[in-house]
Amino acid sequence: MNKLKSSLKIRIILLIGVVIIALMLVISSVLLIKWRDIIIHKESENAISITKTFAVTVIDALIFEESGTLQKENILETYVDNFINRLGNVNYVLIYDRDGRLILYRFFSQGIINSSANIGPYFPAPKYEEIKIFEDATFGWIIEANELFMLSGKKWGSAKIGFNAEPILEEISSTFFMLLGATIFLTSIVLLILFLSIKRMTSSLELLVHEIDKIDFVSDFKISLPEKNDEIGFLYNHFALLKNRLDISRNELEKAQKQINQAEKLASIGRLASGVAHQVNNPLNGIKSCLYAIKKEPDNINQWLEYIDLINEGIDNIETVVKKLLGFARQQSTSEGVIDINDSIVKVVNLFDFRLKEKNIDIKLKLGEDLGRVKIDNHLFQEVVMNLLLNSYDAIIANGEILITTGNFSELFVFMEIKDNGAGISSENLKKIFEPFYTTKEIGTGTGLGLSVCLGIIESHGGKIDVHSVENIETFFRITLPVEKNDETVDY
Amino acid sequence: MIENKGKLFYMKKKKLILTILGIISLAIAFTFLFYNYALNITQVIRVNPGDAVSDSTTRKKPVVFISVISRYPPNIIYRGYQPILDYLTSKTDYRFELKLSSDYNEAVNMLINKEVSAAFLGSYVYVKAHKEHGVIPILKPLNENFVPFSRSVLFSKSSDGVYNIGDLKHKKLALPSIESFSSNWLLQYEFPKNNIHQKDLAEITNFPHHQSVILNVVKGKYDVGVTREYLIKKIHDGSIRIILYSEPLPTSPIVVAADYQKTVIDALKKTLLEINQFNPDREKITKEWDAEFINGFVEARDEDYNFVRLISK
Repeated sequence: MNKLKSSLKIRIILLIGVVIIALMLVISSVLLIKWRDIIIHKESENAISITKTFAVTVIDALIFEESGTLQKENILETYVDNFINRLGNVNYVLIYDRDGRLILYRFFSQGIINSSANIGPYFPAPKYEEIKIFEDATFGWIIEANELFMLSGKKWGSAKIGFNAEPILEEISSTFFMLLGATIFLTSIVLLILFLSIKRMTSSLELLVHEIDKIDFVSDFKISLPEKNDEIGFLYNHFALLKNRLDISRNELEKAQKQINQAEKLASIGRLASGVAHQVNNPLNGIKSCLYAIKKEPDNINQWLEYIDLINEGIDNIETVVKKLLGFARQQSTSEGVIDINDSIVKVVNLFDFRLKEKNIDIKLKLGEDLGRVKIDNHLFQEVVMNLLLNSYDAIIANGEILITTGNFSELFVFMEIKDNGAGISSENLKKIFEPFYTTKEIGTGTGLGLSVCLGIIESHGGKIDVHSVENIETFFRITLPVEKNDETVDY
Repeated sequence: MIENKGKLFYMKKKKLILTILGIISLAIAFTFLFYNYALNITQVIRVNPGDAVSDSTTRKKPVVFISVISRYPPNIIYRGYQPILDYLTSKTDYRFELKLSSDYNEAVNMLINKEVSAAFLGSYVYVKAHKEHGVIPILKPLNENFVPFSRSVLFSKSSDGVYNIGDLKHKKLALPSIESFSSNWLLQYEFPKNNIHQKDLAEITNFPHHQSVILNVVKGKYDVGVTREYLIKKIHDGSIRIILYSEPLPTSPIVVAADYQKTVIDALKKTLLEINQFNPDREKITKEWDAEFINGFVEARDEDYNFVRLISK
């Protein structure tokens, strides 16, 4: 139960946790990428705007130079230097004429403008208006804006302006860690809520299972579950209804079982009737002979005395037979006690004795000593023995042998074996013999319920029935029943 | 049996711990890889990728130079006139290039010296150049009413107490070039007509460009100024008051030398004459043109400028 509970909890948390973590990672990743794109777009737009503004002045300077109004170098150099100093995030500026020749450049590093570097052919004039973001060995991350100085259709030159892109990385990095923190925090919160919810849910289920465990299908235990308005409450209510239906079914089943047992018992009695009649008939014939002799010699006192004793003996015999029969046939309420199965077996065999002799069947009892006591209703156990003996009786046509053996299987179990050398059961039929209403006997001689009833009785008392049969050689049934520790033998 | 159960439980627990560790490891690995990916921002973004940048100077066509009188600063001239030349380049077999002049007379000289094939001149300069060098007008621009006339205006700041030409005494006057019609209209035509003498004013200064005149009056450095009406109309904020309008005079002509290259000038005329009120694409074509030319052109004749000649006398 505990393992199931923890397993369920962990599985749900693991599954949902993985899904949530995956979802949060995906959402955070998409957010970060979008955010990154926005940051880059914003910075690119910024670089473009600055460069376009820069271009206007440079174009004017170039125009003034062409018109001879101003000296290009002076105004351009001054403007570029001011531009770099004022913006503060420019790493370099390169200006080209309309033929792509570099006419002015400035590198800005650590607060110093450097225009003496031998840049040679490393910085060709741009061909397109574009923004390039890349990592440079000298300046680190750079946003390079390439601008063509176009005035309508006339190209006046071009420029490359390298802006410091490190702040972009810092912003992306801080955004990343912010999102990561938010993801971890939210995931933890969701998992905690999930854990508490599942714990609460499983504790309700645990209570339900606890109540289920209390049901033994014997006592009339009433379940007590708290009132709930959620699905668990719905489950509780339906479980209570199920329990009621089970109780009703159990009662009906018990009733039906009793009826079947009784029917089977009566059927057994019917089959015993001819033997019993003979047992009654013999003493009756003796009594009848005695009465005839007394009537013939009414004055023979010695004969009277001798025959009255014989009559009494005959009546006692009849009374014994009738008592046995009534004792077996009477429907009694189930009352379990701890019994010695040897006593029960002997009583049944005695009842059956005459019928066995009819077929000249030799019955041998090999009853174990110091058998463990078994907690079972004595009448039910006798019914089992009777059914098995009847089956052996039916299996033997004549001159057979039945051996009943009992013993301790271990300290925990006792067993009873009934072995006969009758017709046996085919392996095909052996699989079906415990099925209700299955019989190989002729119509009217068997109900098909005998072994089914036996199995039900034995299994309901925690025992089992094993059967082994070789056709035309032997059949034996072994009944194993648990020993009752607190034995308090009941005599019947 | 119990031992097996314990073993099974231990194995399940181990499997569970390994699973959790696996998930955490995967999440950490993903985070690490994604962090590196996010910080790799290398990319190239083409600005206006749909618009191919075309440099008209690279076109393999015969070059035709056009000059413009320096009524505006060079950068303003380029911004207003280069689109006109680009249009001409795109519509003809020639590549038209601007040649700036440092003063009004240089534009005429370039025309006479065959350095340029045509020139955008002012009315006053044209009349003078026609008289001296026989240059002829070919086209003149239309105003917003699609007639080829414009006016010069005398203006002041709205906040100043100048309401008519009689208030100019002791005021500072800003004028465009001495070679411009606007300057000559006020000094040679309106002053005598209104009995005003230049010495009555506190100061009269000629600036090289019309923009300089407007700027100096707007800034309050000068009380009144004279310029072209269409330039003043660009100022919509109510800060300018127009004191006096000139008579309508023909708009500034495009001028060629008497012995002009007919094929080139015919191509130029034909192309620009297609820009008129009936051209549905006019606004789109002239969007970036100097405001003086956005309404199109008509042919110009020398006699159109007789009124200017009258003032020039």
